[in-house]
Amino acid sequence: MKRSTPDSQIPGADQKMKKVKVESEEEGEEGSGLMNLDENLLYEILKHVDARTLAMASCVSKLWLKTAKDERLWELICTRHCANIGCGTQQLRSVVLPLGGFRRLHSRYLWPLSKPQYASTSSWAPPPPKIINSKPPARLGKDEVQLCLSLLSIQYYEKMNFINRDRSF
Amino acid sequence: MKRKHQEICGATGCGSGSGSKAESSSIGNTNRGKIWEEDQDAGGMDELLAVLGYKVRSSDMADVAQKLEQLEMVMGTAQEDGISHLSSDTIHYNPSDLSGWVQSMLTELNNPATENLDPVMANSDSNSSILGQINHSGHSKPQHQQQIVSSIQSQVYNDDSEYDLRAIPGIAAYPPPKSESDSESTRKRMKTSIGSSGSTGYGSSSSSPQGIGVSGAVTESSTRPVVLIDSQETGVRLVHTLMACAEAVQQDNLKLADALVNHIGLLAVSQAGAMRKVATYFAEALARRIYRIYPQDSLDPSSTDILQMHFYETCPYLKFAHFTANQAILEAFATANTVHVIDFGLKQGMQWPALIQALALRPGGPPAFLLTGIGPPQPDNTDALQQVGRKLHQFAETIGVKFKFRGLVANSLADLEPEMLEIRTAEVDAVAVNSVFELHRLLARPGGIEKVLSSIKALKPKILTAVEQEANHNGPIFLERFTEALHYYSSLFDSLEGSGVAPPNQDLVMSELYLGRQICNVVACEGMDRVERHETLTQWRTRMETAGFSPVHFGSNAYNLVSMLLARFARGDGYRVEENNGCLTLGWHTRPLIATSAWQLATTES
Repeated sequence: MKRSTPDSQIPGADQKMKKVKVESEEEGEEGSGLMNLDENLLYEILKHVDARTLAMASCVSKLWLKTAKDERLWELICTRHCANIGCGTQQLRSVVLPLGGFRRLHSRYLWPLSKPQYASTSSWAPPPPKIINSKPPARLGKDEVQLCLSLLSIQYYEKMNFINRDRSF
Repeated sequence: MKRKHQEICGATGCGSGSGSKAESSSIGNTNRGKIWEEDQDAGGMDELLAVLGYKVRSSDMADVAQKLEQLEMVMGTAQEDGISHLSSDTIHYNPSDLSGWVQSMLTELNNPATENLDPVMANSDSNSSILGQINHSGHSKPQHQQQIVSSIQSQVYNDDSEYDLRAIPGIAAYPPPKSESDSESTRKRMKTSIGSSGSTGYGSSSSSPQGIGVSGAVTESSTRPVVLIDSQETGVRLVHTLMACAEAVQQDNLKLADALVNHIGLLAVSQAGAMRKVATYFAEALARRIYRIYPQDSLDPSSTDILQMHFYETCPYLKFAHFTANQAILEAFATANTVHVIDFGLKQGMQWPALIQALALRPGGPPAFLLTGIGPPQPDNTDALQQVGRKLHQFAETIGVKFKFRGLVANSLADLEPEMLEIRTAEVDAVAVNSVFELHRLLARPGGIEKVLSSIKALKPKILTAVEQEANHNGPIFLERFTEALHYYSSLFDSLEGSGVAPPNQDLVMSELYLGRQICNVVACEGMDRVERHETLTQWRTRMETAGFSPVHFGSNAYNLVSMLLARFARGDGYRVEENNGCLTLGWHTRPLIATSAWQLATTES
């Protein structure tokens, strides 16, 4: 079923609810509760969760993974936690999406930056102690966001190396 | 078992020397961990230590470990009294019998012999970084230099205790081996400095079963009065020898310099980590200078690029340079609709994606971006500049920025005329000139820098960003240059070492090679070949201001940006960003290493 765009969610809600009921009657033995959610409903719910939950959601099942990876959800997370850097939404999208997307931006750059500071982030250091994440991370300022975007660009550019090397000029 | 190997490896000098602590802890660990009992082979000898060349029965391990700790304690405390007598009487025939040796050492300590040698051990200090050692030498150097040189000289001629020295043919300086008495101190030194002694590379030709490479020159001959060096670590001696060698070169005393250079090589092996690498590179450079084997300066530019890429990955210096310069350029381009950037050293173009992206997100949309990249000619006639240009073009296209690239090939920036740099066909609102580690090369050619600066002025740029090494490697006196360079590159190598990268790592090795080439150029070359003519920020400031530029100060946002970069994404916590009269410097601990400055044309207010 093709997912409707966020704007048209509400009018179609009634239809969705009916469909869910029908499906759950037909596939009653498929498991209980949340597993029966169809993509759209799941999407709606995930729009309201925080980053950690969203990431964990992608580990639940294939359907959940597919839904939780949606760039729009991660865009919401990013803009929720980042100061406005002065550009329009569409402008931001047109830069971030081709360079790897909001999910990557968040997991590789925004998230490490917003974690409380402890030992250096070398890859072979022992894993950091578990932080009890009761509070949502602080809002990142303009500078932090710009740093993350720059690093995203550099990483994309570096990866481009390999593609180009194969081509013969 | 793997873990144990790592510990032992750490003790034998893979990590940055942590002195005897590593040794006792590793042996202690081997002792206390119950796992090691699995490592015994049929003969009852501890397998792991056997690998290192020691034969210790597993059953004796606890005992030996205890005794070693005792020994270490005694030596540490007995420093002032002169425990050198230990090296005198007892003859140890079986160097690999660790427990026997320890036993005899301890019994000797309890019955001190009469002969007086120089105190040898100062284990507690072996942790000191290179800087500490150089500072040590710095203190004693001016007053005692002559004496040090002579004592080192005589050391050179009397020092015979390393087995591998004998193995080196043709060194007339080293007399035939003396009694066994000297060899104990070697072994003793070797044992207690397991933590700081280095690789097995050099000692491979030795005749005795030494798994661990012999530590460097250790003993002083028995009749020598106390050497005037504060501490006896090989590290300080190494620095002194380097200085002495440089001075010999300066005085054109090539025979002495030659002997000293070889000596440095040996001393260097006994060090671990950064000190060893720095010393090795400097020794090689000195040797080149002495023998007049100058490095091929027509180094393949693409290989230099590759080395620089690895350097980019391992440490934050280049990232710092790019981020700060981009910030200044971004601010200068705030309202322009078509911008032109001239990059004096395009290399792989790593600086520009971030700027293109920042321009793409500018409120109001991106300007049209023209980039002129300058690079050296390639030996195989490939157009490296165009390749990079295409990549950048593709990148810019991906995020919706209008981009045009132009490549200029030039051997030296001074070859370029101002007309070549300009783009006349386009309506350019703002021009920026960017140079990362390029301007100092012009100082090799008389008139070079003046010509380039006047060409830049003719372009009427909105901003000129220059990143340079913060050091004076361009003094007229060789010895001063050498000393400066030693300090500078020691700090740099320290920072690479401290970056927490698991050794051995290809990036790290390549980065070191990249720096090693610079060292070679500073020390071994002269005249037009010596292009690594670094100068300090103050010197550049004077030069720029004389040429008619006025400084543009970096804002706090640039400072914050790089501070965050270092705090989060760079490995190692010794990096320091500092602000220096509007310019930003990045250094390692207290030593600034590179400096970014921004300039605009000085306007004369009428």
